[in-house]
Amino acid sequence: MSVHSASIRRWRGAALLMVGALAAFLGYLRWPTKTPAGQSPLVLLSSQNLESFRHAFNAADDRTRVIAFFSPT
Amino acid sequence: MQGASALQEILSKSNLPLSVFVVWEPVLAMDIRSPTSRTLARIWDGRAKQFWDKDRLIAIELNKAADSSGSNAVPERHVPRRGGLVWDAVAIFSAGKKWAGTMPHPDYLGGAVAAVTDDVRARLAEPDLKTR
Repeated sequence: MSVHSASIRRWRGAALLMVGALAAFLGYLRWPTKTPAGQSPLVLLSSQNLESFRHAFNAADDRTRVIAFFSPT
Repeated sequence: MQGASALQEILSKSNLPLSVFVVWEPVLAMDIRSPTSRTLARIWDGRAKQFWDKDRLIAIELNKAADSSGSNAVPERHVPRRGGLVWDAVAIFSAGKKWAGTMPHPDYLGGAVAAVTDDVRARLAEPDLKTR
């Protein structure tokens, strides 16, 4: 085996590793999430649907409401 | 994460008719995606609705409500608030309060959640709060 072909194989291995890592990262980002049984699906809030949060808050005004803030990590 | 488990523990021991809004938001640099199913499972109570608020819109609204001065000053307990960010915190709103133009003043705002569980339990059990 020449030094040249060994170098190519090393580069190819490194490239494959990088592609694999990138695929795993993208998979992590796009992996679907599920809320526990009995809860409605996770709502992704944005300025477009902030109104839905306000609506849900007001719709429950017959009882005490709790808003809790957490970081996912 | 400890805070979410603490909140679930409070809910597990309470059968009050509550509505619980769990807002997950990016705080650390690694918070680049919505919470995983495993994270969401920390709050399994059926009274909870869970949200991913990547732009921290609800925290901004709460900051506006909590910062506004007046006779409705919020009793605040060690809430981590920095640069418009509110996290590991619980806000409690009594029945009847409406979110019109801005979010109403919370009747209670406290954190870190694991450190204020007794306060939160006491506030939730207040008869005034349930019927106000």
